Amino acid sequence: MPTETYSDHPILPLEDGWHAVALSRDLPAGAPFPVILGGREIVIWRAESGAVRAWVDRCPHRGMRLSLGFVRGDTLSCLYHGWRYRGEGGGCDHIPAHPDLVPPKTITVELYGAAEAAGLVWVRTGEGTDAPAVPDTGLNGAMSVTIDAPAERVKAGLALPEGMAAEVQPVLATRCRVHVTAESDRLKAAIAFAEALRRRFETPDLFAAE
Amino acid sequence: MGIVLYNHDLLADAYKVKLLLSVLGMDFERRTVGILPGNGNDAPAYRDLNPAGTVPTLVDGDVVLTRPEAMLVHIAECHDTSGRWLPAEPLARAQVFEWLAFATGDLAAAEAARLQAMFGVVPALADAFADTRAAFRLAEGHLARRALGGLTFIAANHPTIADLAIFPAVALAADVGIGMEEFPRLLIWARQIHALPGFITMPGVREVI
Amino acid sequence: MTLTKDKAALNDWYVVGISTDVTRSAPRRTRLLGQDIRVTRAADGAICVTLTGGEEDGRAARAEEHYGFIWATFGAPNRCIFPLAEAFEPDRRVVTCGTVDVAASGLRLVENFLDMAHFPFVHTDILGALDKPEVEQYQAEIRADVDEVWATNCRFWQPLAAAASKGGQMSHYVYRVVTPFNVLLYKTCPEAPDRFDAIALFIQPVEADRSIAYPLMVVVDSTSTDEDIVMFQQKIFLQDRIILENQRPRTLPLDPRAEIPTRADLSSVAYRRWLKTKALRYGSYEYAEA
Repeated sequence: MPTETYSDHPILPLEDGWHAVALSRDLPAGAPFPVILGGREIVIWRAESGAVRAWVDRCPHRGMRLSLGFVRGDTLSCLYHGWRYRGEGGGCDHIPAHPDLVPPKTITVELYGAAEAAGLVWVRTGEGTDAPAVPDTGLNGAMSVTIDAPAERVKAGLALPEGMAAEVQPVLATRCRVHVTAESDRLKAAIAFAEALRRRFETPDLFAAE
Repeated sequence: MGIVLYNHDLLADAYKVKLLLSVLGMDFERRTVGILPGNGNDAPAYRDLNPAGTVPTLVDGDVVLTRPEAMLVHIAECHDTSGRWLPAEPLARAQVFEWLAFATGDLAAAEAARLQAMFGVVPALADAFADTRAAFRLAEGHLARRALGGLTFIAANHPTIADLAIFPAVALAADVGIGMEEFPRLLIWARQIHALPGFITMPGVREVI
Repeated sequence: MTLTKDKAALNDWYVVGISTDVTRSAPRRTRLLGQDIRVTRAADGAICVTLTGGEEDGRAARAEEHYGFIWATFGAPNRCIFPLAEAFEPDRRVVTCGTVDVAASGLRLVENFLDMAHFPFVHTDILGALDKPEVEQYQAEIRADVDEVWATNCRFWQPLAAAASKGGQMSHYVYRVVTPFNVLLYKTCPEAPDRFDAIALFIQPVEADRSIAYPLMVVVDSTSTDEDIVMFQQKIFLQDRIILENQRPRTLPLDPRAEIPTRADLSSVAYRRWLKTKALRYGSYEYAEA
């Protein structure tokens, strides 16, 4: 997507396919949320109907990040000039400065595939319409933590306790985000695990002393 | 003679006090101290009142307070008839003081980082940005744990002065250049504060949400 | 950081400080177009701007003072600092409003200053109301004789147009871009509706995607204190700063396919076209150091 390159961050090559970017419980209806996936600035949001959307975090008018916008029903509006975009298809359906104008079909945000499975919100990069090939673990969202370490290194060193699962999302070259889910009686332990994981990678000397 | 607040509309510490006064529906007199730019806080009359020269300063009759968290406690104790903003119940009360202390300590970095980013004010801290991020992470972890128990405010199951003490730093995170992609629970929590009756904004805090 | 080689950028005047802030005992260190500089006041009161660091360490830049500010250039501008007649009217308040750092290209700051459609959303209940968002047709043109961009016949309903306002007014605006990084507007004065208040935004391009903004108010106002006037302007600008730092890219794309204007954006369309005629690249997305 050409507008991806306007991101503040270098775009990292990612495998086409689904990437976990948030816990479902951390995305209530009505609140747009910013995501950085391999340098790509993405906005995820949940319509009042429950449908989850993922777009390039950029209004095509003057480049304002849509993650600072506001949700009304199944639309997301830009905070700068209030341009409103439909959740289904991403087309602009209202420009407040010209209330009687029917916005041209060319005014549209750029879409990513978005889905929910296994207690997580997933975003799809690349073409394709398949659903995330993720088994429904029946686990609940516990916590997401950002770790200043490369995703591959964290993935390799996860050491998950029983009753927990984790998805590692690449954020930047030296930053990732780990989404931890767990059985309902292990959620508190899962939060502790997530924070310990962050300490292990960010302050390894201090962690060794724990 | 009611409350007099020596104020500046660009400071988070003044905002948290005005926020409490507003949700309580209280009138007060505001007097602007000429800073950013200016040295109105060094004027002899101001230093007589507040030797530290910090802004805001609150005067309520004979009481003169110079620390915003103390102002929140005083206003809640003396003027909140509901008793909810500073609860008497010991467990909740302890949590309020815990997180007021967090606001005074860990979270001081947020305003330092903000004044540095906007006005080039050199902070006393070596890395105000990193310290702000660390403080936000603490609050995020706390809210994630509380969410397990269905609790959505910082210290109790309803808003208290601890929430108001912390809210400005979170609401103004964009001033510092801290994005909320690391802090979904903080974002969800902050939206509740926006929804409080009597909520007011300041420059940098969004009006439309 | 190194001084840019963009000729159009080099051959222009830029604000680098507020006159009263730089005294004999208080020099100022800052950066312009990627080049570190030191701004000092000599014993005779003259202002000096010296390049520090880099290939031209020690060279003096031309420096002048106007309208309460210190102006510098690294090159040879083909014109003087623009005229601002209102600043010399005896009943005017001429108020500098401090500075604000912004992590965005100065060109983005100018465009935001020219824009009215954001008033209801960004300056809610002050410069605009959510129930009155329509932008009426106005005119914008490049005036080749003075080499400036002008937008005229701009109108917007404003709940609180200025520090002196007691209620709403239909504000009439004229916008005037005097250089790529310096812009003014003239708007209906609440106290004297037959005259215009002037508000200027002078921008110091620190780097291609970082700026220092210097607002200036040149207003007719017999009731507000200086602090009231400064506060009003600071509040407006800080509301804009959240937008400016969250536009992507942070620099201004000159490629017409990158962003989509509407009729309300006539002034920014004229501004971008004018930048292209000047071959000014610094601060644009397409800018790349040779």
